[in-house]
This record gives sequence, structure tokens and C-alpha cells, in this order.
Amino acid sequence: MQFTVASSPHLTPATSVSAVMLKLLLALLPGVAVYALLFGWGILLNLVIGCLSALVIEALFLFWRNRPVKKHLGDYTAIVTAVLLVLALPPLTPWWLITLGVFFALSLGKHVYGGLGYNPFNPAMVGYVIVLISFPTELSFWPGQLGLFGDFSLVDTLQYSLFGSLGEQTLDGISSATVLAAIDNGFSQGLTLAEIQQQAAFGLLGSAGFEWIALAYLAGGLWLIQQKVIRWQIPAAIIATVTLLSAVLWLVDSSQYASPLVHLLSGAVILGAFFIATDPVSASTTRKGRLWFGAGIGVLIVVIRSWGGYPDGVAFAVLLMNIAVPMIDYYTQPRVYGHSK
Amino acid sequence: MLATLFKKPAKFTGGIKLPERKSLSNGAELRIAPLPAQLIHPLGQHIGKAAKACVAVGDRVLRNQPIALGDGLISADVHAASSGTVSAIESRPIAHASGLLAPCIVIDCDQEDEATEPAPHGNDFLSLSSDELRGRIRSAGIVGMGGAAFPAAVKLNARGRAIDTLILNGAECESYITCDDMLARTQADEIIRSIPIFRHILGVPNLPVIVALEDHMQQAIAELRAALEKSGLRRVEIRAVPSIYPEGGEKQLIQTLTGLEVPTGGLPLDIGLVCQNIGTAAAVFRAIVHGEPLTSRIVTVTGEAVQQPGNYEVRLGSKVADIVAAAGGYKVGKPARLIMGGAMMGFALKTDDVPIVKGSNCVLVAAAEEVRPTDSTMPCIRCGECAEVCPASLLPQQLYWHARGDEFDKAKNLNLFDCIECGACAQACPSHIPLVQYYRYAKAEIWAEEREKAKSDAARERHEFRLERVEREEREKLERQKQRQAALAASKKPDAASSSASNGAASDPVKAALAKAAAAKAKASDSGGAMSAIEKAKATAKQRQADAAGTSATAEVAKPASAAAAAIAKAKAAATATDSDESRESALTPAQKAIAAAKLKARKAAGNSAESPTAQHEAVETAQQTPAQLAIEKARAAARQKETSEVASASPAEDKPAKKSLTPAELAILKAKAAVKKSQQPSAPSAESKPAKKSLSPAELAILKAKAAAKKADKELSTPDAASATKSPAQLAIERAKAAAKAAQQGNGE
Repeated sequence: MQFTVASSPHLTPATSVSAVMLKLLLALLPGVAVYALLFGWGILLNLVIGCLSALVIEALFLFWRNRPVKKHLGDYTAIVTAVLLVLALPPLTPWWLITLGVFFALSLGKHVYGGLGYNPFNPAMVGYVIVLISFPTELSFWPGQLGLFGDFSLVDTLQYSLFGSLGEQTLDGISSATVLAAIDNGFSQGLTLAEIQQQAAFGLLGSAGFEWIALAYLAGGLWLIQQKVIRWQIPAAIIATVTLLSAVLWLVDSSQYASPLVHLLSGAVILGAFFIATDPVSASTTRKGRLWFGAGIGVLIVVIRSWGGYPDGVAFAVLLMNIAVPMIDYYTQPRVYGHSK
Repeated sequence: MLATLFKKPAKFTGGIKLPERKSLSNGAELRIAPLPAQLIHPLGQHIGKAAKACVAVGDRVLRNQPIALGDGLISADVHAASSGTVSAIESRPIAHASGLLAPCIVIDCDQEDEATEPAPHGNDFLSLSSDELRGRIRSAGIVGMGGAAFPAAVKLNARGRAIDTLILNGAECESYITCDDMLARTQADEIIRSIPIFRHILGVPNLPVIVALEDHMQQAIAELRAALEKSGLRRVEIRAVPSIYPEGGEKQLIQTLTGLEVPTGGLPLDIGLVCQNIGTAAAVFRAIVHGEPLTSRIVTVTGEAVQQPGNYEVRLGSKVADIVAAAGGYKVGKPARLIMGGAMMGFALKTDDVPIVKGSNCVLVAAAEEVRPTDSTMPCIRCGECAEVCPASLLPQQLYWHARGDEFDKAKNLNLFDCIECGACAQACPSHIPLVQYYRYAKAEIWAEEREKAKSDAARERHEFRLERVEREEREKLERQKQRQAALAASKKPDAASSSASNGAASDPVKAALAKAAAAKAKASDSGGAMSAIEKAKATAKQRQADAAGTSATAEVAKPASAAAAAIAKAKAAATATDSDESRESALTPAQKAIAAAKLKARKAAGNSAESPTAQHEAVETAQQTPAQLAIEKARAAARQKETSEVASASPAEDKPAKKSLTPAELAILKAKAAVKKSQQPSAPSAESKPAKKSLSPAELAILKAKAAAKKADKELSTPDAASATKSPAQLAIERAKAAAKAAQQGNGE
């Protein structure tokens, strides 16, 4: 009898790229749910626009590059990129801006390097940074807690997203300065932290509303670690460095520097630590290297927030550390079995 | 207390939990496969050289009769597994990933199963020496039964090293396989009773022994414990180890049990351990106590596509088709893949027409739903899961990257050769990349490259050496003529010699070199007392020289205008000194004899060994010349030696074995050449035929690799003869020296 041959191992595989990506999306669900509950329809609409754009743009690139379209659309990596990009954008963002961001993320962030697995930079952050520096006004418009069932309905959201019209609402009526932006502006105007706290929506722990979203992300992230979709080193290193560094600054001068809790639970630290910085393709792959990679991101976040021109620095921090990954990986190779200690 | 609570359970680095799928086969009792109509015994079913057939076509053979004898140190005998007639000695398909043919002895069984008289055996093995016992194991054809099939007798040679633990490996970590489990359940007694044999062979009566089984093998553990109690043996521990793949890998099991690591490129022996599979242990027991050679083994026949999965006692040489038939045959329409070995490290067979060999532990007849699809490969996403599970702590994703890009030197620097090819990385890979295939491919390419390089280097060295020899012969001829004339002139004006002696101080480097060369020569010298007497005489002569030079030299340290001139001057001074000290007899003084001998040796050292009769003749001739002439000759030799030895000291390669076959001067020349060449060509460029390989599918890679391996095997078979015929000791030494230099370089690089 004759048989077909194939190389070992012959066991059915335990996991796959699409399974990994699906778990990642699943882990984002609690955060997205809390986000929508607190801030209204915007985020849900953005996610739909982002995912549709991603599917279309990815398919076009795959077709153009002569790659199997169905196989690669089915790996969900383009969806993950789009979702992470959307989560970084404000909940009220015009549709074209989202599509543009996704386009840049998938083109300049991924396909120019050869597609999945070859990109040196985190594609979602490439897309985000490009739209951030291109459209600063749109990206600094953060609405307050509109709620899913508040005055600002799904129709209002659609109208704003598609046509840019606010209807009866005014921009000032619904917008609210984010904590990090208020801190950034406030300190530059010479205000103390106490004065700033009166201006912006500080919540119980960090930024009002966003603190709960961050905690939901945290829950999802911990589940990912438990599922071994991501490893603990990068999130732990980021959170530890941000906490440590901001604590030192805060202890030195609490009127000029925000507390560690505000740092952790405002902006994108938790999202970044568990979901963005852990992007396997562009992150460090050695155990020790992941710690260094995470620590570098943590330091850069605090530096950019405290002294840089942007209120939040997660995207820049991640991209900057992406550059350092080959070097980190080179210098953090584990000791191989049987080699001297 | 607290410390023990938090102490991590002993475990090797990395590893991956696999679906066990062992219940398929370990529920049934051990069954005996019927005697097949035909047995196929491959000559090479072990690591090392293939055995040489010692029967002819048409011979009637009996069970247990040796039909092929081990060839060389690392080899193993092959025995007929049943009685019958040798119907062919020819190439047949064997169980090999390449699907290539290999020489086999085919026996048509007569179904009488008549056996030979058993070999000498018994329980009184303690009266035999370690070597005798190992000889019996060797002639019983026993090899490692865990799959690697390394000759057991070789592994049991402690080679004078202190052994502190024997490990019997029953940690069967691959999915599906249960043959060791079955062995321990049914032959626990034989496993335990092999321990005194091993202890005696290793020469440590109370050697601690660990019998390791995976923790799911509860019944086997119980049987072994019972057998141990019955035997009354002490310092034997039956230990259950965690069921993590690849726990049963020798290096991993050692790490789990002892916390030690086998040094890279080394053996367990280097850290005082000997490791044997429990199947090997049982076979050793039967060979020593019952005189039975290895002619059968337990094979797990399993998978969703075979009717009666289970463990079968199978005659070696049975075809896979025979034992599948013994297991009820294939399930109709189900078989998708036929795998020899486990699902992780086994290889897929093209046909079931291949024989079971000593290392065959499992035949897996897999249905489509239990094997990995071949078309699901995605690009590497660098998730690093492979590195998490790698038991050798390698970076599989980096190795893959370099292997795929044919950057073999980089793969090598990332310790490619520490990979044990367990496949844990490929199993953990979410992109379903057959990583191990790439590593095997890279290894095969590197080996091929090294062989090619060694070959071309040897050819070049040979050529250059010859050119140089021809040139030197010409030069020496000329010089000899000149010197004869000069010597004639010098003997007419003896006072000229003393006047130039003031330059003697400049000869210090020459002296140093001479001393160095003499020391090296003394080391290398393999001649008896006569030679050493000459050496002594020479040393005395040298002392006198030194004295003479020392007294005649003034405080001024003149820069040597030319080393040769200085040497001649010095030699002349020495000659005068000798003249003045000794009575001027025309008969040879010991010093003169020594000088003549030195000249002879120097000439030999210069690589003229073929011409030694001439050299000898000249030496005698020279001995009859005046002392001054002798001295000049000697100085010339010294200067020549100085040259070579200086160059030699610049070479980084320190190669001791080479010295045995080469004189120091020859060695020095070779080394120098090697050094120069190395500096000219920092690394071996090898870009041929690479672009084509980039587009190869893993399957094609596998074929390539297999071909390379086959080629290698062929070469291994043929090299010893070819090498000894075509390679001079010098070339061998060159190769060795280069290897040493390469090793040194690597050591620096790390």
C-alpha cells in the first residue's frame, strides 16, 4: 500500500494564527462594552467602519500582491489592527479618518514590508500616528460620557461620522477635555495639579469613565496571559516602569506631576500594555528582551506625558521601542542548554 | 519547609504538553505477531557503520545466527530473526525518511523457527571482565532501543571516567507510543535484573540507579517497584517524572533527574552519567543471562486507521505490512498517513513494504483527522511560543529566519547544532511552520559545505606543498654548491673566522630558535636511546657554542645585518671554540657527530623525508668535512629552523595530534600556510545554487536533506578507505589543525 508523505510533527496543531487573533478580539470585548456603555454609540460605529475598511483594504492589497486572499483575510490580523487603531481614536471620529488610518496602518504599516510577519512596526500605531499628526484637531476632540442611551443617539452619531454635522448639539456641549490633555495644557500654562483637577473630568481613580474601561481591558489582558496568547513580561514591565517612574516624579513634586494611579488609568497605558505592545510581530521575542522592551515603553510613556508635546505617548513609545527590537533580541538571547552559565 | 513549598518541581527547560493518545494502544495485552513469510534485515539499522554480511545467498540460517557482523568500533551485528534461506542480499526500501533503498539480507522463512545453540551465557557474569561483557552485548547486536539505535556496548564504555549514576530511561514522552510502558509492565523483572550487569560493566558495584518513567505509567511503576523489592537491590530508585514532551530525551531527562546539563557537544559520560533505555536494559539482560541476541522487540501499532491497535512482540525484519496485518489490517478508506515512530519525531513512510528494525518503536496508522494538514502554513508572526517550549533554550524563530534565508553561519552562531530536533517548536507554532525541517536542511547544508571545503583545502595544500618543495630543492642545490666553495675558501683562511666572531651576540635569536626547535624535536622524537644520546651530544655541543659565543661577543649588541650572516659567523666562532678545546683529530668528535645528525634532521624537518637517503649520505659526507664546514652547515639549518619556527609561533592553532605524524618544521610550515590562508579568506563563501532553494517547499527540503544525508552516509562508508589511500598524514593533520583553529575562533566569537 502506498501513502502520502509529510514532514514531522504529524500531530494536529494545538493552535493557529486565527485562533490567537480571535482570542485577542474576545479579550477586548469587556473593554469595548464598558466603552460603549459610558461613551455612547461612537465607538461601536467606529469599530464597524474600521473592520469593514480593513477587510476591503486588506483584500485589495492581498489581491494586488498575488497572495491568497481568503486564507489571509481569515487570519483576522487585519481586523485586530483595525480594532486597536479604532480604540486609540476618539469615539466621535469622521468615517474617512478611520478609513484613512486603517489604510495607512495596512499599507505603510504592513504590506510595504511584505505583509503579515514582516513588519518592523506595530501597524495599528503606524496608522494612528499618521492620522494623529495629520489631523490634530479631529483627534483632540474627545466627547464626554454621552452614554448608550443618552441624548446623543445612534442617529446623531451616524450623522456626525458620515457628514460631520452635529445637528442640534454643539461641539462644546458634548466635548470634554481628557485628563491627560488637561494636564498637558495645564502644566504648560503654569497651573497646579489641583487647579487642573477642577477643569477636567477626573474620576474616582483616573480619568472619569476611562478608568473603568482600563480596568475592563486589564481583565481581558489577564485572561490573555492565562490563555498564553500573550506572555506576562511586556505588560508587567510597562506597568511597573510607568508606576515606578511616575511615583518618583509625583513624590518629588506632586503639584507638577500626576500620580501613578492617574497615569495608569488614563489614556492608553493598560490597552497598550496588554494589547498593543504585545503585538508579536513587532515586539521582542526573548523573555529577557520582552522585559527590556516593556520597560523602555514604560519610560518613554512617562517621559512623553511629562515633558513631551503630546498628552499621551503610548503610540510613540511603542514605535520607538519597535526600532530597538532587533538589538534587544540580539543581546538577550537565552543561555542554551549545555553552554556554560 | 517554606522553601520546599516554593521549590519548583524538578523539570527540564521548556517543553510542551501533548495530547497523549496512549489509551488507544495500552489497553490491550501484549500480543505476539505471527512469523512472517519473509524477513528483511537491513545491514545498517544503527548509528555508525553498516554491518558486513557474513552469509551468502542460498545459505540456510537459523534464528539467532549472526548474518552480518559489525564493521568497526561503532557498529552492531545483525542476527537472523528466524530460520530459513537467504534469498537475496540486495538493496531494498527501508524505513528512512528519504525513501531510499539500502542493502538488506532477505530471508525466506521456513516457519520452523529453528534456533542456534545459545551463545555463552549465565548468571555468573560477575566473573567476567567488563570488556568481555561488552563484547557479548556487542555480539548480541544490541543498540539503543529508544529510537536512536546507538550501539549499546559503546555507550557502556566508561573510558576511565568516574560514573556516579545510571539512568534507565522509560519516560516515553511521545503521543501514541506505549511500547516501553508495555515492556515495563510485562518484563519488569528483566529490566531490574539488568542493573547488576550494568554496575559490573561500569565497574561501580553500588552505582546509584534511577529508573525513570512518566507519571501516567502507574501500572508499570508498580510492576517495577515489585520487581525491585523482589530483587533486593539497593540504591535503585523508581522515579515518576512529569509527562511533558520531550521528557524522554536523554538530555532533558538528565536535567529533570539531576539538574545537570550535558555540556554542548559532549556526552552524559562527561558529567558522570550513563543513560540506557529500559528496552535496551531488558535486551542486555537476555543477552548476558540467556545468551539471546536481539531478534525481536515490542512495537506499538496504533492510530485511528488500524483495526486492533496495541503492542506486539515483533520479529525484527518483519515488514510493516505484516505487523499491520497482525493488528487486524487497515480500516477501509481511513489510512491517511503511515508513520514510523511517534507523531512528533517519526517520519512518514511511502510504502508499508519496509522492515521493522531495532530502533522501530511504533507504527502509527493515522486517519486524516488526527494528522496535521499540510497546507495550513502561515508566515511566522514571531510570537516566540517556539522559544518558550524549546528544551534547548534556542530561539527557533531566529533559526528559522536564517535557515530560510540560507544564512547558515548565522544559524550556526545561534547554536543550531544544539537543536535536538524534538519538534516541540513546530508543535507550538500557531503558523504551523514545519520548523524542524528547516533546521535539518540547514544542518545538512552546513555539513556538505564543510566537507567540500575540507576537500578543496586539502587539494590546495597538497599542490602548494609540492610547489614549495620543488622550489626549495632547487634553491638548496644552489646553496650547497656555493657553500662548498665558501667552505673551501674558509679552510684556507682560518683567522677570518675569529675576526668575525665579534658579531656573535647578534646570533641570540638564532640560538633561541635552535633551542626551541630542539625542544620540539625532543618532544616529537619517537626514536630510542641512540637518538637521545645524539640529542644529548648535540646539547653539549650547543653549550660549548654558547660559551664560545658568549666569551667572544663584546657588550655591543649589533643589529644583525642579515640573520644568515650572523649565524654563519656564530657557527664559525663555535667551530673555532671546538677546535681550540678539543684535540684536532681527524676522527669525528661526539660534537661533530651530533652536528651531522642535526643536519640530517634539519633536512628531514624541511620536508625532505623522501630524500633521506641522500640527506644521510650528505650527512656522512659532511661529517668528513672540516669542523668549520660542519658548523656552517649546522648554522644554516638552524637559521632555516628559526624561520619556520617563528612563523609557526604566529599561528593560533595548537595541534597536538598533528605532531605525532609530522616533524615540527613540517607542522610549522603547514600551520603558517593555514594561518595565511585564513587571513586571506575570513569565511567560506558559498553562494552556489542557493536562490533555487529559497522557493522549495518543506517536502522538497526534506528530500534534499535526505539526499544530503544519504550522500553523507555513502561517504562515511567510503571515506576510511579512500582517506587512507589518498590522504597523507600531513593532510589529515592540516584538516585537524583547521578544525582546531575553527573551534578556537568560534570560542572567541561567543
